[in-house]
Amino acid sequence: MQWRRMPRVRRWLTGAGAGVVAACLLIAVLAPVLFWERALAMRTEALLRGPSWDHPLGTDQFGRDLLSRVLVGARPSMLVAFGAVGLATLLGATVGVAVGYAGGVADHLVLRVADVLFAFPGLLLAMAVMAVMGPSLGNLTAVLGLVYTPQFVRVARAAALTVRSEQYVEAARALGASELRILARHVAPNAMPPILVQVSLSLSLAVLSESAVSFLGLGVQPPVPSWGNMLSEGRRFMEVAPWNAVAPGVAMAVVVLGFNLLGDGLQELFDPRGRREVV
Amino acid sequence: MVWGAVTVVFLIIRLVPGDALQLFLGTQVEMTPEQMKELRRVFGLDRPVWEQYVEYLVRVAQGDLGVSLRTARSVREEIVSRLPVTAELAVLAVLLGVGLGVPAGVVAATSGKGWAAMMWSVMSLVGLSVPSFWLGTMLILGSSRLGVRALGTYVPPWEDPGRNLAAMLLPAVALAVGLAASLMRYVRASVVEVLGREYVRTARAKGLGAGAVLGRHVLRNALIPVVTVVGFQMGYLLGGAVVIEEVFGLPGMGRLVLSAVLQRDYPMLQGVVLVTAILFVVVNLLTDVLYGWIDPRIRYD
Repeated sequence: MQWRRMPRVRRWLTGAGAGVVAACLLIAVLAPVLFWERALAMRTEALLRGPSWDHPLGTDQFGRDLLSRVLVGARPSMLVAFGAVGLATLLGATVGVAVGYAGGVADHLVLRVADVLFAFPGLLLAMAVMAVMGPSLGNLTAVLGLVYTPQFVRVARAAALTVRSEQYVEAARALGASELRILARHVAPNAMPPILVQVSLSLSLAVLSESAVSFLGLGVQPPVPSWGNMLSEGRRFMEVAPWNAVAPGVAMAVVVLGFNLLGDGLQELFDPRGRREVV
Repeated sequence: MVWGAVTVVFLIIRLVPGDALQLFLGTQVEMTPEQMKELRRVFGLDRPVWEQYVEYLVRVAQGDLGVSLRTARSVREEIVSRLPVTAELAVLAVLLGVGLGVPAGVVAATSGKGWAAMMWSVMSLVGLSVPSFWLGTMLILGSSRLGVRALGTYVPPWEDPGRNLAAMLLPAVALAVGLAASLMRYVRASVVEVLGREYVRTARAKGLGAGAVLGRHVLRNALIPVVTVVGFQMGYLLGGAVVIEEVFGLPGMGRLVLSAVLQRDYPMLQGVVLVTAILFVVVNLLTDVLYGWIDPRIRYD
């Protein structure tokens, strides 16, 4: 479907999603530069204050400015989300397109491995590996990347399967193009749309997973703020200072909603029947 | 499948850089090389990896998951004592999720293409986007503001069903919202698709009322694929339960795995991950069977 032919509300929502994602990326890049000091500076004279002119969202149990912390907290989320999904796309889409096009034993084997990995709840697997490798942003990114890979293998493989019987592939082969060239120039680009949709859906999942793991104390370590560890600290004081628990969650929800809206829009753009791969 | 899961679980522990034993003991414990050697022999770490692997396979096949490094209790017993809590949480969440998500999806599907339909779809997206552990926290906050004690101590249902439900309801709601939102989307898509089928047109043409068409022709066909989706979502539920149990302080598998992670209790960790993966496989197998039973057109070779 073309962008212009989508219902107006849908276009508007997709645009809003893209806007949220872009804004969040911008904040993730800029906020640590601008507000790093404010996010870590403790003020013992202003502990657990409510919203005020100085601190629009109030302060936490060390008197640190909550708004700055929420903004700075966007960075680990975006780093992990884009890192993990980037890794999964690179690995999963390459392997998926290749085996989908080639078929045969390799296809069968890869599919089985993907099935086995798929049987583990992603969060649990991530926790287990973090326990072994130690909590760090890099490890978390790598683990989540691996957890999401099977999904990309499936989507890319399915896409490649449909593309491989298209006439333009036949035509290229008839013209004497090498298999590798057909794969790179014809199959891969045309298998892209469903992979893109998967990317935006996985991004929203990755944001949630990062904050869940950080919430459990296995991801980003305090004092560096991330939405997950802020929530886990803030909920201990939420009777007196509810903002500390509310703010990071709202940030997460808005960003995830942005990714989901964008993903839905892309989905409709590429596949107007509104079918969704079973996630 | 199960064999693959066992292998993956075994391999995770082999990922440990350097010496698992050293990592477990930490840096505070001073030991002579002889003592280390003795310990390694006790844990079977001095033998080749493939030998350890075969032994692990045999032990798992016999139902022996090892012994906790911290409490010296059998991993299997520990899991068996915690499993009911998580299972109850998951079942409650599925019931709530299906109870909310399916009707909402049907309503959304029949609400046409205008603003109303768009509102439903935005609502389900919002439900998908709210992190369950934050929602849980907010539920605790909200109920304490209303003067209700949200954090009941866990009581097994066979001892006091009322208090059990009081402790489990909010966590189940927190888990169910995401599930309901995603189910709603599937149900909506499925119902919309079935509404366009010819037999629905036939049913309408022969003068059936809208309710009869929906109930007898549309829903029966549209809800079949939803069964599979519920099965798939179990994996998500089991993962989400870990965090929710931590939020609400429920003594389930999630807390068990979290403390195992924090204490580097590897046998316990292996056991829980393995049991969860097996549960997931079993649930999916059951959904497949159920699927064939609901829809006799499907036959497995």
